[in-house]
Amino acid sequence: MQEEKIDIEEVKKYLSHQLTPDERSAFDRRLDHDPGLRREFNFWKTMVIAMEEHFDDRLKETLKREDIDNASKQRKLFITPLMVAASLIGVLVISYFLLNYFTKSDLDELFTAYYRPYYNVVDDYKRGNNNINSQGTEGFRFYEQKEYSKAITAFEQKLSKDPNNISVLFYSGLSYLATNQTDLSIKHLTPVASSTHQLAEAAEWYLALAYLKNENIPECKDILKRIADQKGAYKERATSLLQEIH
Amino acid sequence: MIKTFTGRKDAEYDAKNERTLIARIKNGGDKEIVALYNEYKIHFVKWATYKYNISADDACDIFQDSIIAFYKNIKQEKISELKYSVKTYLYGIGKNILFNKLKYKSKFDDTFDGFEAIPCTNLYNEWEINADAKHYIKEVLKKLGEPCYTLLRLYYYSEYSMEAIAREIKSKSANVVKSQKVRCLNALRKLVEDKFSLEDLY
Repeated sequence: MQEEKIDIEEVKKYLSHQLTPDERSAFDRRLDHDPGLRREFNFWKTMVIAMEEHFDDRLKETLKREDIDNASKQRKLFITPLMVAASLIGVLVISYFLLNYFTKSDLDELFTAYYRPYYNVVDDYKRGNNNINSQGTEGFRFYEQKEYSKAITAFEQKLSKDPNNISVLFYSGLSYLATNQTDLSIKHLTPVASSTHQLAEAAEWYLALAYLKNENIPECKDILKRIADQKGAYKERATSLLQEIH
Repeated sequence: MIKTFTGRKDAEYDAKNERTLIARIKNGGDKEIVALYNEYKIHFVKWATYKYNISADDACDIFQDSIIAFYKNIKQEKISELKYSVKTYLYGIGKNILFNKLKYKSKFDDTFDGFEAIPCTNLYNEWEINADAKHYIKEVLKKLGEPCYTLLRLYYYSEYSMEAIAREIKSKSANVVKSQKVRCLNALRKLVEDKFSLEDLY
């Protein structure tokens, strides 16, 4: 009796249910009656599944690398001369818009109406988890006590050692905003807003407020539109503020 | 066609562009898959972390799995055209993976966020195999070398035709690729058989 053959393509079709019911029954019968064929089937089955998983893993690694590359590009973008040039152009555009549409006191009133300090939701030093020597923790304590200048000093010390710490960037951005240092606030909040961190949504809102305070209405409106288009916690506030700016 | 999905239609999506996108992915557009990932990732992560209170890392991981499932569905021709936007489809898969991974399905209302969970079970999940052998093959593949590694990936994973592989690996013809594929599989088989006997595999 001639030895029956089985190949990987046939096994792949069987495993992925691409055979018709009749073909599948015939295939099963062959496997049931021939132990050698069953061993071959098991070999190719293992091979097909292992290859599929291996290439799944590889694609996932590609996507993860993409995240790392994007984060790196964002950091580079943040300090390029192009950004400086764009900022200067932005200032000119702001000036134009301000002259035509808003007075400074209008914008201050709007800012005051919408600005509320954000609670410390990151560092629970009050519950005894703090290390008093940590500048990050000290910064959060000052932040909660509304001693924003001291908070900024502590946060900046922390950032000098850990410049990508999203939570510290966020609260330092808020502290700068509270002390009317809007350029620095924007600088610190921007990477948080464009991150995937859970604080990104709040950072986007405060970034819009920072641009409002900074009298950059076009940028403020762009961000508010993005927030208003989503179903986040700031949707209603963003929609309402947008209507007032229009 | 997507038979199981009955979610809402997105008014804003451009059906023609998305049909082109599907066709490109089907014909080997790996770059399109990465671009798709970059386009929707941030929004998906924000949506999933806000809506389901999961960490950004978990949301990111789930979205990566959604992209892979979407890619494989296209390659295996489970999707030949989209009745709904790519975004709705990706979110639907993501939601299903999220429910399965975090056992959330019973906790949440599945209807009010506009995205219906789309089933996307792993094609080979039902099969039991020798885990040691599987792990070994996955490692051996990394050492297989070129052009075998790319050839096997394009043929068995990306479902390329022999002609397309010939173009991709700059081979003379589809027939040459066909012979190469046999040699590559034999080489891989030998590496596995050096470590495991057929009786070990189930």
